[in-house]
Amino acid sequence: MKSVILVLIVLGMLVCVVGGIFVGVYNGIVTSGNAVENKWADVQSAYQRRLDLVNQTLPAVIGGAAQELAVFKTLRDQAAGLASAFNGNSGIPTGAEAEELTAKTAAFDQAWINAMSYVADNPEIKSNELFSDFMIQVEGSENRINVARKDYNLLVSEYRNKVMTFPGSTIASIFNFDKDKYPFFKASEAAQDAPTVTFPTLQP
Amino acid sequence: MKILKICLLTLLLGMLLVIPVKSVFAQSTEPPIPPVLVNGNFVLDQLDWLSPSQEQEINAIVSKLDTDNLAQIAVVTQNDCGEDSQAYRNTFFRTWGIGHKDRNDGLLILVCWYDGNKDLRKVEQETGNGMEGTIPDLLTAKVFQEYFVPVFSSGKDAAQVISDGDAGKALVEMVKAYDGIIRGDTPEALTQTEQQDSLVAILSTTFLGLKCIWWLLILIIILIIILSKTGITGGGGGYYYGGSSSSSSSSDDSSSFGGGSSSGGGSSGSF
Repeated sequence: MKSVILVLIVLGMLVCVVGGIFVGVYNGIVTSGNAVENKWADVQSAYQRRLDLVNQTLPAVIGGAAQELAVFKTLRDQAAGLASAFNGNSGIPTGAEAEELTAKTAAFDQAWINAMSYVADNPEIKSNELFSDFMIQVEGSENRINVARKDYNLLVSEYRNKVMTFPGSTIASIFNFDKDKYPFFKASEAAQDAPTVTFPTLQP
Repeated sequence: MKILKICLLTLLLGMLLVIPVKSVFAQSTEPPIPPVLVNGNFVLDQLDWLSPSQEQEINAIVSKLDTDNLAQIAVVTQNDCGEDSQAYRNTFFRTWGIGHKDRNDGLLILVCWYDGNKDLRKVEQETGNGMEGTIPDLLTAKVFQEYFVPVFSSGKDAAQVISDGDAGKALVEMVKAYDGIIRGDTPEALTQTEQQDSLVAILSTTFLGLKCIWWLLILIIILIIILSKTGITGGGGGYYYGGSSSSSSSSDDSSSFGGGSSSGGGSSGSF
């Protein structure tokens, strides 16, 4: 009789332990998913900072006349388009929305390159002290975008690992966690060719 | 008794299956990050630019900022910062955990010399999340341009600048400037009492997917069964406070830095 009770106790413990582990794994997946969504907010704000620089700071820098040029008008339009694509989504865009976002990012990057190519040939704008300050801020915000994107992709990777490896995969299939729920954020190819604008170093 | 032992053994073996496999990302071609500084040392001068007294001066200023809970500044001179010095400085900042953890008020000044190559050499600066208001990107560039650039564009040969101690002096001046900026914004030293209930912290850390407290309960149940089987009565039993997974490696040196993080703010300046 005693051995039966013993076996029952051990079985009960086994159930508790396994159940506990499964709860832990489930929570791990949920936490990981939340971390991804939180980090997406950082990516959004990093891009917003960049777009604000274009919309609010750039006009003062290039001067009233230059603002009306087609190349800068296009840049502002692309910036507006990208801002609406980012902020129009309540969550992380997937599928068609994600593709639209990638396309708009690429269009913005291309418009930026065109604008900077124009500036590279324009000594008046380049020598403006405000412009060099502006470029420092742009560099900073672009770095922030890169870091936020890298962090985001890392978290997506961790989420996928949790959902795809055992025992996460079992939990995931029970509770319908989709491994492709969060897309990786790809850099647009246009951004790779951004021209470097060299301007005279400031003399103290 | 034998059945019990076999059951416990299978149980333990079963638990081992759940050990999570941490994915190891391939090492990039970036140069390794030097081991973190310890014991209140905030300067790592691998290029030998700073004289001992200059190093002491910087350490004194930063120590005061640290104890006043305002900021943590790390000054590092290094030859090779890899292909992408911007990415490297971010990794460096995070690995060292510069800045107080709750305030993220770190600043890293990283000189990347690249054997003096004028096209490559830079001073990379990175600010922690909480520091971006006090020291925005533009300000780091301004401080760099005002205190550092003139030293190397004075007409003197670069090697001469370094051996004369001017390069070291430039770094000291930068730290002093930041000290003024940081203190200018916060007239009173912000003191925060750390309210860490260490026992609660230990009990709520996760270990193999389960909180530590659950493992304790399991162990207690196992022990009660074992003890009752071997005839020792008594409700209390032996409470076992082992298995704590939160124990950090107890080394004699503790990091100078508080574990702050950064999200890419700062600037990189060529000279």
